[in-house]
Amino acid sequence: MMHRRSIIRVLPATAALLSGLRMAYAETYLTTEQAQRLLFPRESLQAVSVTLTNDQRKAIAKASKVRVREDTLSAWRTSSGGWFLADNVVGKHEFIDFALALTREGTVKGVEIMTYRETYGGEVRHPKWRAQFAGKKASAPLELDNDIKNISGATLSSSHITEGVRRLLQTWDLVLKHL
Amino acid sequence: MTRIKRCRPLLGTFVEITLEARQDEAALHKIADKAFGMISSVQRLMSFHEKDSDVSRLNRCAHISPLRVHSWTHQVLAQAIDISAQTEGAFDISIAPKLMRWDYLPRTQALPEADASWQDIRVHADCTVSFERPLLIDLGGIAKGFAVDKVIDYLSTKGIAHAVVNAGGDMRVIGAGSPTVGVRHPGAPQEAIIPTVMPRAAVATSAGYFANRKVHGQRVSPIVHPRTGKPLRSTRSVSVFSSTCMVADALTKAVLLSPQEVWTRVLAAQDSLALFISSRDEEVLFPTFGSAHA
Repeated sequence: MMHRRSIIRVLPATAALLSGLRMAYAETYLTTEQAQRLLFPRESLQAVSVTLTNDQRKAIAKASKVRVREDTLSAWRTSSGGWFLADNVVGKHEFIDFALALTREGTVKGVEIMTYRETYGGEVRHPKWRAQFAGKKASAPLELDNDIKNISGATLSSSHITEGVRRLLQTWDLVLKHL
Repeated sequence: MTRIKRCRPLLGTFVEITLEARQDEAALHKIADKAFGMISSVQRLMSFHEKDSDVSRLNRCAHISPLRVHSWTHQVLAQAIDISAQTEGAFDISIAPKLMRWDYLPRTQALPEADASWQDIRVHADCTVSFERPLLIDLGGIAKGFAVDKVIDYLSTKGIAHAVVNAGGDMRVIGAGSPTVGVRHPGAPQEAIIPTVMPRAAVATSAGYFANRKVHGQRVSPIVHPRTGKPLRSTRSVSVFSSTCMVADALTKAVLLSPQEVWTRVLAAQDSLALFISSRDEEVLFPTFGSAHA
Protein backbone atom coordinates (compact mmCIF):
# COMPACT_ATOMS: atom_id res chain seq x y z
CA MET A 1 0.00 0.00 0.00
CA MET A 2 2.69 2.48 1.02
CA HIS A 3 4.71 1.45 -1.96
CA ARG A 4 1.93 2.46 -4.31
CA ARG A 5 1.32 5.77 -2.59
CA SER A 6 4.91 6.81 -2.77
CA ILE A 7 4.94 6.06 -6.48
CA ILE A 8 1.91 8.22 -7.09
CA ARG A 9 3.36 11.14 -5.15
CA VAL A 10 6.22 11.55 -7.59
CA LEU A 11 3.86 11.36 -10.52
CA PRO A 12 3.83 14.93 -11.87
CA ALA A 13 7.59 15.17 -12.23
CA THR A 14 8.44 11.75 -13.51
CA ALA A 15 5.32 10.46 -15.15
CA ALA A 16 7.09 9.76 -18.42
CA LEU A 17 9.81 7.76 -16.74
CA LEU A 18 7.32 5.66 -14.88
CA SER A 19 5.01 4.77 -17.72
CA GLY A 20 4.68 1.07 -18.12
CA LEU A 21 5.12 0.49 -14.44
CA ARG A 22 2.56 -1.77 -12.83
CA MET A 23 1.17 -1.34 -9.37
CA ALA A 24 -0.12 -4.07 -7.14
CA TYR A 25 -3.08 -3.49 -4.92
CA ALA A 26 -4.40 -5.81 -2.25
CA GLU A 27 -7.28 -5.34 0.11
CA THR A 28 -7.70 -7.73 3.01
CA TYR A 29 -11.24 -7.70 4.32
CA LEU A 30 -11.15 -10.65 6.67
CA THR A 31 -8.58 -13.08 7.98
CA THR A 32 -9.50 -16.76 7.86
CA GLU A 33 -10.26 -16.70 11.61
CA GLN A 34 -12.49 -13.63 11.26
CA ALA A 35 -14.38 -15.22 8.38
CA GLN A 36 -14.85 -18.38 10.43
CA ARG A 37 -16.26 -16.44 13.36
CA LEU A 38 -18.60 -14.47 11.10
CA LEU A 39 -19.91 -17.42 9.12
CA PHE A 40 -20.16 -19.87 12.07
CA PRO A 41 -20.52 -17.62 15.12
CA ARG A 42 -21.68 -20.24 17.60
CA GLU A 43 -19.77 -23.29 16.41
CA SER A 44 -16.38 -24.81 16.92
CA LEU A 45 -14.34 -25.66 13.84
CA GLN A 46 -11.99 -28.56 13.31
CA ALA A 47 -9.41 -28.46 10.52
CA VAL A 48 -9.70 -31.49 8.23
CA SER A 49 -6.87 -32.52 5.94
CA VAL A 50 -8.26 -33.30 2.49
CA THR A 51 -6.18 -34.25 -0.54
CA LEU A 52 -8.02 -34.93 -3.76
CA THR A 53 -7.03 -37.88 -5.89
CA ASN A 54 -6.62 -37.40 -9.63
CA ASP A 55 -9.89 -39.20 -10.24
CA GLN A 56 -11.69 -36.94 -7.77
CA ARG A 57 -10.24 -33.83 -9.40
CA LYS A 58 -11.40 -35.02 -12.80
CA ALA A 59 -14.86 -35.85 -11.48
CA ILE A 60 -15.21 -32.45 -9.80
CA ALA A 61 -14.03 -30.65 -12.94
CA LYS A 62 -16.47 -32.61 -15.06
CA ALA A 63 -19.44 -32.02 -12.75
CA SER A 64 -18.72 -28.32 -12.16
CA LYS A 65 -17.24 -27.49 -15.58
CA VAL A 66 -14.49 -25.65 -13.70
CA ARG A 67 -10.83 -26.62 -13.72
CA VAL A 68 -9.49 -27.93 -10.40
CA ARG A 69 -6.08 -26.30 -9.93
CA GLU A 70 -5.20 -27.59 -6.47
CA ASP A 71 -5.36 -31.04 -4.94
CA THR A 72 -5.37 -29.90 -1.31
CA LEU A 73 -8.31 -28.22 0.38
CA SER A 74 -8.30 -25.71 3.23
CA ALA A 75 -11.28 -27.22 4.99
CA TRP A 76 -12.79 -27.10 8.45
CA ARG A 77 -15.72 -29.16 9.70
CA THR A 78 -18.08 -27.42 12.10
CA SER A 79 -19.70 -28.85 15.21
CA SER A 80 -23.06 -29.01 13.41
CA GLY A 81 -21.61 -30.92 10.45
CA GLY A 82 -21.22 -27.90 8.16
CA TRP A 83 -18.04 -26.95 6.32
CA PHE A 84 -15.87 -23.84 6.15
CA LEU A 85 -13.74 -23.76 3.00
CA ALA A 86 -11.00 -21.21 2.25
CA ASP A 87 -10.25 -21.08 -1.45
CA ASN A 88 -9.18 -18.74 -4.23
CA VAL A 89 -9.97 -17.88 -7.84
CA VAL A 90 -8.15 -15.75 -10.37
CA GLY A 91 -9.74 -12.32 -10.81
CA LYS A 92 -8.60 -10.18 -13.73
CA HIS A 93 -4.93 -10.90 -13.11
CA GLU A 94 -4.47 -11.91 -9.48
CA PHE A 95 -5.91 -14.27 -6.90
CA ILE A 96 -9.03 -13.45 -4.95
CA ASP A 97 -9.26 -15.37 -1.65
CA PHE A 98 -12.74 -16.21 -0.51
CA ALA A 99 -14.49 -18.22 2.18
CA LEU A 100 -17.45 -20.48 1.57
CA ALA A 101 -19.67 -21.72 4.40
CA LEU A 102 -21.77 -24.81 3.76
CA THR A 103 -24.51 -26.26 5.92
CA ARG A 104 -24.67 -29.91 6.92
CA GLU A 105 -26.91 -30.45 3.87
CA GLY A 106 -24.36 -28.91 1.52
CA THR A 107 -26.22 -25.68 0.83
CA VAL A 108 -24.47 -22.31 0.75
CA LYS A 109 -24.67 -20.49 4.07
CA GLY A 110 -22.46 -17.60 3.06
CA VAL A 111 -19.65 -16.32 0.86
CA GLU A 112 -17.15 -13.70 2.02
CA ILE A 113 -14.27 -12.20 0.08
CA MET A 114 -11.19 -12.37 2.31
CA THR A 115 -8.49 -10.78 0.13
CA TYR A 116 -8.88 -8.99 -3.20
CA ARG A 117 -5.75 -8.43 -5.25
CA GLU A 118 -5.36 -6.57 -8.49
CA THR A 119 -2.58 -5.18 -10.61
CA TYR A 120 -2.84 -1.78 -12.19
CA GLY A 121 -0.57 -0.02 -14.57
CA GLY A 122 -0.65 2.87 -16.93
CA GLU A 123 -2.33 5.48 -14.77
CA VAL A 124 0.94 7.32 -14.49
CA ARG A 125 0.50 8.20 -18.12
CA HIS A 126 -2.55 10.25 -17.22
CA PRO A 127 -1.42 12.89 -14.73
CA LYS A 128 -3.56 15.57 -16.32
CA TRP A 129 -6.46 15.19 -13.94
CA ARG A 130 -4.48 17.35 -11.53
CA ALA A 131 -4.53 20.38 -13.79
CA GLN A 132 -8.24 20.13 -14.28
CA PHE A 133 -9.03 20.58 -10.64
CA ALA A 134 -6.31 23.07 -9.80
CA GLY A 135 -7.73 25.97 -7.78
CA LYS A 136 -11.27 24.62 -7.82
CA LYS A 137 -13.17 24.85 -4.59
CA ALA A 138 -14.96 21.52 -4.66
CA SER A 139 -11.70 19.76 -5.32
CA ALA A 140 -9.78 21.38 -2.49
CA PRO A 141 -9.34 18.11 -0.61
CA LEU A 142 -7.88 16.48 -3.70
CA GLU A 143 -5.16 14.40 -2.13
CA LEU A 144 -3.98 10.94 -2.85
CA ASP A 145 -3.61 10.17 0.82
CA ASN A 146 -6.95 8.46 0.67
CA ASP A 147 -6.39 5.07 -0.88
CA ILE A 148 -7.41 4.85 -4.47
CA LYS A 149 -9.53 1.82 -4.08
CA ASN A 150 -13.02 2.78 -5.07
CA ILE A 151 -12.77 1.89 -8.68
CA SER A 152 -15.79 3.56 -10.11
CA GLY A 153 -16.69 2.57 -13.61
CA ALA A 154 -15.33 -0.91 -13.32
CA THR A 155 -18.00 -3.52 -13.50
CA LEU A 156 -15.71 -6.03 -11.90
CA SER A 157 -17.12 -9.37 -12.78
CA SER A 158 -17.70 -11.74 -9.92
CA SER A 159 -18.37 -14.67 -12.24
CA HIS A 160 -15.10 -16.36 -11.26
CA ILE A 161 -16.31 -16.48 -7.67
CA THR A 162 -19.55 -18.07 -8.87
CA GLU A 163 -17.45 -20.70 -10.67
CA GLY A 164 -15.32 -21.26 -7.60
CA VAL A 165 -18.42 -21.81 -5.48
CA ARG A 166 -19.78 -24.26 -8.07
CA ARG A 167 -16.51 -26.18 -7.98
CA LEU A 168 -16.59 -26.38 -4.17
CA LEU A 169 -20.23 -27.49 -4.13
CA GLN A 170 -19.27 -30.41 -6.37
CA THR A 171 -16.25 -31.05 -4.13
CA TRP A 172 -18.64 -31.33 -1.20
CA ASP A 173 -20.98 -33.62 -3.11
CA LEU A 174 -18.27 -35.94 -4.39
CA VAL A 175 -15.82 -35.89 -1.48
CA LEU A 176 -16.59 -33.97 1.74
CA LYS A 177 -20.09 -35.39 2.18
CA HIS A 178 -18.61 -38.88 2.46
CA LEU A 179 -15.94 -38.03 5.04
CA MET B 1 -13.54 4.67 16.30
CA THR B 2 -13.80 1.15 14.98
CA ARG B 3 -13.51 0.45 11.29
CA ILE B 4 -14.46 -2.66 9.35
CA LYS B 5 -14.47 -3.47 5.68
CA ARG B 6 -16.35 -6.33 4.07
CA CYS B 7 -16.85 -7.59 0.54
CA ARG B 8 -19.28 -10.07 -0.98
CA PRO B 9 -20.03 -11.14 -4.54
CA LEU B 10 -23.53 -9.78 -5.20
CA LEU B 11 -25.49 -8.20 -8.08
CA GLY B 12 -22.97 -9.66 -10.52
CA THR B 13 -20.13 -7.65 -9.03
CA PHE B 14 -18.18 -7.18 -5.81
CA VAL B 15 -20.02 -5.17 -3.20
CA GLU B 16 -17.77 -3.53 -0.66
CA ILE B 17 -18.99 -2.00 2.60
CA THR B 18 -16.77 0.11 4.85
CA LEU B 19 -18.11 1.19 8.24
CA GLU B 20 -16.60 3.46 10.84
CA ALA B 21 -18.35 4.14 14.14
CA ARG B 22 -18.02 4.21 17.91
CA GLN B 23 -19.28 0.66 18.27
CA ASP B 24 -17.46 -2.59 18.79
CA GLU B 25 -16.39 -4.70 15.88
CA ALA B 26 -18.99 -7.40 16.46
CA ALA B 27 -21.79 -4.82 16.33
CA LEU B 28 -20.44 -3.39 13.07
CA HIS B 29 -20.21 -6.85 11.51
CA LYS B 30 -23.85 -7.46 12.45
CA ILE B 31 -24.82 -4.22 10.73
CA ALA B 32 -22.79 -5.21 7.66
CA ASP B 33 -24.48 -8.65 7.60
CA LYS B 34 -27.88 -6.99 7.59
CA ALA B 35 -26.76 -4.56 4.85
CA PHE B 36 -25.56 -7.44 2.66
CA GLY B 37 -28.87 -9.17 3.32
CA MET B 38 -30.70 -6.15 1.91
CA ILE B 39 -28.56 -6.29 -1.23
CA SER B 40 -29.35 -10.00 -1.63
CA SER B 41 -33.03 -9.08 -1.44
CA VAL B 42 -32.62 -6.53 -4.22
CA GLN B 43 -30.86 -9.20 -6.28
CA ARG B 44 -33.70 -11.68 -5.69
CA LEU B 45 -36.37 -9.13 -6.59
CA MET B 46 -34.77 -7.44 -9.57
CA SER B 47 -32.64 -10.02 -11.33
CA PHE B 48 -33.44 -10.49 -15.00
CA HIS B 49 -31.94 -13.97 -14.80
CA GLU B 50 -33.74 -15.43 -11.78
CA LYS B 51 -37.07 -16.93 -12.78
CA ASP B 52 -38.97 -15.94 -9.63
CA SER B 53 -37.80 -12.34 -9.41
CA ASP B 54 -40.35 -9.53 -9.69
CA VAL B 55 -38.69 -8.51 -12.94
CA SER B 56 -39.06 -11.98 -14.49
CA ARG B 57 -42.67 -12.26 -13.34
CA LEU B 58 -43.46 -8.88 -14.86
CA ASN B 59 -41.71 -9.79 -18.09
CA ARG B 60 -43.75 -12.98 -18.33
CA CYS B 61 -47.22 -11.65 -17.61
CA ALA B 62 -47.58 -7.95 -16.75
CA HIS B 63 -49.03 -7.38 -20.25
CA ILE B 64 -51.90 -9.75 -19.35
CA SER B 65 -52.94 -8.34 -15.99
CA PRO B 66 -51.50 -6.10 -13.24
CA LEU B 67 -49.08 -7.89 -10.90
CA ARG B 68 -48.36 -7.12 -7.28
CA VAL B 69 -44.66 -6.48 -6.68
CA HIS B 70 -42.49 -5.79 -3.64
CA SER B 71 -42.57 -2.15 -2.51
CA TRP B 72 -38.87 -1.82 -3.44
CA THR B 73 -39.53 -2.98 -7.02
CA HIS B 74 -42.47 -0.58 -7.13
CA GLN B 75 -40.22 2.27 -5.98
CA VAL B 76 -37.52 1.49 -8.55
CA LEU B 77 -40.01 1.31 -11.41
CA ALA B 78 -41.72 4.54 -10.42
CA GLN B 79 -38.42 6.37 -10.28
CA ALA B 80 -37.17 4.78 -13.51
CA ILE B 81 -40.23 6.00 -15.40
CA ASP B 82 -39.84 9.43 -13.86
CA ILE B 83 -36.23 9.62 -15.10
CA SER B 84 -37.29 8.27 -18.51
CA ALA B 85 -39.80 11.10 -18.79
CA GLN B 86 -37.26 13.71 -17.70
CA THR B 87 -34.65 12.43 -20.13
CA GLU B 88 -37.18 12.07 -22.97
CA GLY B 89 -36.54 8.34 -23.13
CA ALA B 90 -32.75 8.43 -23.23
CA PHE B 91 -32.87 6.38 -20.05
CA ASP B 92 -35.20 3.43 -20.60
CA ILE B 93 -35.45 0.18 -18.63
CA SER B 94 -37.34 -1.53 -21.48
CA ILE B 95 -34.41 -2.20 -23.79
CA ALA B 96 -33.88 -5.85 -22.97
CA PRO B 97 -34.92 -7.21 -26.40
CA LYS B 98 -31.99 -5.45 -28.02
CA LEU B 99 -29.58 -6.63 -25.37
CA MET B 100 -30.82 -10.17 -25.92
CA ARG B 101 -30.28 -9.95 -29.63
CA TRP B 102 -26.63 -9.15 -28.90
CA ASP B 103 -26.40 -11.96 -26.35
CA TYR B 104 -25.92 -9.83 -23.29
CA LEU B 105 -28.91 -11.36 -21.56
CA PRO B 106 -30.36 -14.86 -21.67
CA ARG B 107 -33.11 -15.53 -24.18
CA THR B 108 -36.57 -15.94 -22.73
CA GLN B 109 -39.82 -17.05 -24.24
CA ALA B 110 -41.57 -13.69 -24.03
CA LEU B 111 -41.70 -11.88 -27.35
CA PRO B 112 -41.66 -8.14 -26.80
CA GLU B 113 -42.89 -5.80 -29.50
CA ALA B 114 -40.04 -4.01 -31.20
CA ASP B 115 -41.23 -0.47 -30.50
CA ALA B 116 -42.50 -1.04 -26.95
CA SER B 117 -40.93 1.38 -24.47
CA TRP B 118 -41.05 2.80 -20.95
CA GLN B 119 -44.25 4.60 -21.94
CA ASP B 120 -46.04 1.24 -21.92
CA ILE B 121 -45.22 0.61 -18.25
CA ARG B 122 -47.96 1.46 -15.74
CA VAL B 123 -47.01 1.76 -12.08
CA HIS B 124 -50.20 1.75 -10.02
CA ALA B 125 -50.70 3.14 -6.54
CA ASP B 126 -51.55 -0.23 -4.93
CA CYS B 127 -48.05 -1.66 -5.53
CA THR B 128 -49.12 -3.33 -8.75
CA VAL B 129 -47.53 -2.92 -12.16
CA SER B 130 -48.86 -3.61 -15.64
CA PHE B 131 -47.59 -3.34 -19.21
CA GLU B 132 -49.77 -1.98 -22.01
CA ARG B 133 -48.26 -4.61 -24.34
CA PRO B 134 -45.63 -7.36 -24.27
CA LEU B 135 -42.43 -5.82 -23.01
CA LEU B 136 -39.14 -6.77 -21.40
CA ILE B 137 -37.66 -4.68 -18.65
CA ASP B 138 -34.16 -4.95 -17.25
CA LEU B 139 -33.21 -3.08 -14.09
CA GLY B 140 -29.51 -3.80 -14.53
CA GLY B 141 -28.94 -0.09 -15.05
CA ILE B 142 -30.33 1.04 -11.71
CA ALA B 143 -30.84 -1.88 -9.30
CA LYS B 144 -27.25 -1.59 -8.06
CA GLY B 145 -27.71 2.10 -7.35
CA PHE B 146 -31.01 1.40 -5.63
CA ALA B 147 -29.43 -1.31 -3.45
CA VAL B 148 -26.63 1.06 -2.44
CA ASP B 149 -29.19 3.74 -1.50
CA LYS B 150 -31.24 1.28 0.58
CA VAL B 151 -28.15 0.23 2.51
CA ILE B 152 -27.11 3.84 3.09
CA ASP B 153 -30.63 4.66 4.38
CA TYR B 154 -30.35 1.75 6.79
CA LEU B 155 -26.81 2.65 7.91
CA SER B 156 -27.85 6.24 8.60
CA THR B 157 -30.24 4.95 11.28
CA LYS B 158 -27.45 3.02 12.98
CA GLY B 159 -25.18 5.79 14.19
CA ILE B 160 -22.51 5.14 11.56
CA ALA B 161 -20.15 8.13 11.38
CA HIS B 162 -18.55 7.20 8.09
CA ALA B 163 -19.56 4.63 5.52
CA VAL B 164 -18.69 3.76 1.93
CA VAL B 165 -20.90 1.36 -0.01
CA ASN B 166 -19.44 0.43 -3.38
CA ALA B 167 -21.26 -1.95 -5.72
CA GLY B 168 -18.77 -2.37 -8.57
CA GLY B 169 -18.39 1.37 -9.05
CA ASP B 170 -21.84 2.49 -7.97
CA MET B 171 -20.85 4.17 -4.78
CA ARG B 172 -22.32 6.30 -2.02
CA VAL B 173 -20.82 7.63 1.18
CA ILE B 174 -21.94 8.81 4.61
CA GLY B 175 -19.91 11.25 6.62
CA ALA B 176 -17.55 14.16 6.34
CA GLY B 177 -14.59 14.27 4.07
CA SER B 178 -14.31 13.71 0.35
CA PRO B 179 -13.23 10.18 -0.35
CA THR B 180 -11.11 9.82 -3.42
CA VAL B 181 -12.71 7.82 -6.14
CA GLY B 182 -10.92 6.24 -9.05
CA VAL B 183 -12.53 6.50 -12.46
CA ARG B 184 -11.32 4.05 -15.05
CA HIS B 185 -9.92 5.58 -18.17
CA PRO B 186 -12.20 4.58 -21.04
CA GLY B 187 -9.26 4.11 -23.40
CA ALA B 188 -7.66 1.55 -21.13
CA PRO B 189 -10.33 0.13 -18.86
CA GLN B 190 -8.09 -2.60 -17.47
CA GLU B 191 -5.33 -0.20 -16.70
CA ALA B 192 -5.92 3.39 -15.89
CA ILE B 193 -7.32 5.05 -12.83
CA ILE B 194 -7.97 8.74 -12.80
CA PRO B 195 -8.45 9.90 -9.24
CA THR B 196 -11.06 12.49 -8.52
CA VAL B 197 -13.08 13.64 -5.53
CA MET B 198 -16.72 13.29 -4.66
CA PRO B 199 -18.60 16.55 -5.05
CA ARG B 200 -21.82 14.70 -4.12
CA ALA B 201 -22.49 11.71 -1.87
CA ALA B 202 -23.02 9.23 -4.72
CA VAL B 203 -21.30 8.41 -8.01
CA ALA B 204 -21.82 6.01 -10.90
CA THR B 205 -19.90 5.58 -14.15
CA SER B 206 -20.97 4.36 -17.57
CA ALA B 207 -19.01 3.83 -20.72
CA GLY B 208 -18.97 1.81 -23.87
CA TYR B 209 -15.96 -0.20 -22.84
CA PHE B 210 -17.55 -2.69 -20.47
CA ALA B 211 -17.41 -5.54 -22.87
CA ASN B 212 -15.69 -6.51 -26.01
CA ARG B 213 -18.24 -8.48 -27.96
CA LYS B 214 -18.52 -8.26 -31.67
CA VAL B 215 -21.55 -8.61 -33.89
CA HIS B 216 -20.94 -8.57 -37.65
CA GLY B 217 -17.38 -7.49 -36.94
CA GLN B 218 -18.40 -4.45 -34.91
CA ARG B 219 -17.84 -4.00 -31.24
CA VAL B 220 -21.09 -4.03 -29.29
CA SER B 221 -21.53 -1.94 -26.19
CA PRO B 222 -24.12 -2.88 -23.58
CA ILE B 223 -25.31 0.73 -23.60
CA VAL B 224 -27.99 0.88 -26.23
CA HIS B 225 -29.43 4.03 -27.66
CA PRO B 226 -33.16 3.64 -27.08
CA ARG B 227 -34.12 5.75 -30.09
CA THR B 228 -31.96 4.18 -32.78
CA GLY B 229 -31.63 0.79 -31.08
CA LYS B 230 -27.93 0.88 -31.86
CA PRO B 231 -25.18 0.34 -29.30
CA LEU B 232 -22.83 3.15 -28.40
CA ARG B 233 -19.51 2.87 -30.17
CA SER B 234 -17.94 5.86 -28.48
CA THR B 235 -15.17 5.21 -26.03
CA ARG B 236 -16.27 8.07 -23.84
CA SER B 237 -17.14 7.43 -20.23
CA VAL B 238 -19.18 9.55 -17.92
CA SER B 239 -19.29 9.62 -14.14
CA VAL B 240 -22.32 11.27 -12.59
CA PHE B 241 -22.24 12.62 -9.06
CA SER B 242 -25.66 12.89 -7.38
CA SER B 243 -27.16 12.82 -3.92
CA THR B 244 -28.43 9.28 -4.48
CA CYS B 245 -26.77 6.40 -6.25
CA MET B 246 -29.84 5.37 -8.23
CA VAL B 247 -30.14 8.82 -9.79
CA ALA B 248 -26.40 8.82 -10.52
CA ASP B 249 -26.75 5.37 -12.09
CA ALA B 250 -29.67 6.37 -14.31
CA LEU B 251 -28.19 9.73 -15.29
CA THR B 252 -24.92 8.22 -16.55
CA LYS B 253 -26.91 6.48 -19.26
CA ALA B 254 -29.07 9.53 -19.88
CA VAL B 255 -26.04 11.76 -20.27
CA LEU B 256 -24.39 9.45 -22.79
CA LEU B 257 -27.57 8.99 -24.80
CA SER B 258 -29.50 12.24 -24.86
CA PRO B 259 -28.83 15.61 -26.49
CA GLN B 260 -26.81 18.03 -24.46
CA GLU B 261 -29.69 20.45 -23.87
CA VAL B 262 -31.71 17.60 -22.38
CA TRP B 263 -29.07 16.21 -20.06
CA THR B 264 -27.83 19.58 -18.85
CA ARG B 265 -31.41 20.35 -17.85
CA VAL B 266 -31.78 16.98 -16.10
CA LEU B 267 -28.45 17.38 -14.31
CA ALA B 268 -29.56 20.76 -13.00
CA ALA B 269 -32.97 19.41 -11.95
CA GLN B 270 -31.28 16.57 -10.04
CA ASP B 271 -28.50 18.77 -8.60
CA SER B 272 -25.97 16.47 -10.22
CA LEU B 273 -22.58 16.81 -11.92
CA ALA B 274 -21.16 14.86 -14.83
CA LEU B 275 -17.47 14.17 -15.44
CA PHE B 276 -16.67 13.14 -19.01
CA ILE B 277 -13.48 11.44 -20.08
CA SER B 278 -12.91 11.03 -23.76
CA SER B 279 -10.54 8.68 -25.50
CA ARG B 280 -8.36 11.70 -26.28
CA ASP B 281 -7.76 12.51 -22.63
CA GLU B 282 -10.22 15.35 -22.49
CA GLU B 283 -11.86 15.65 -19.11
CA VAL B 284 -14.88 17.84 -18.80
CA LEU B 285 -16.96 18.46 -15.71
CA PHE B 286 -20.52 19.75 -16.04
CA PRO B 287 -21.84 22.07 -14.91
CA THR B 288 -19.91 23.66 -12.03
CA PHE B 289 -16.48 24.21 -13.46
CA GLY B 290 -17.54 24.58 -17.04
CA SER B 291 -15.39 22.98 -19.63
CA ALA B 292 -11.81 22.18 -18.72
CA HIS B 293 -9.69 20.44 -21.29
CA ALA B 294 -6.85 18.76 -19.56
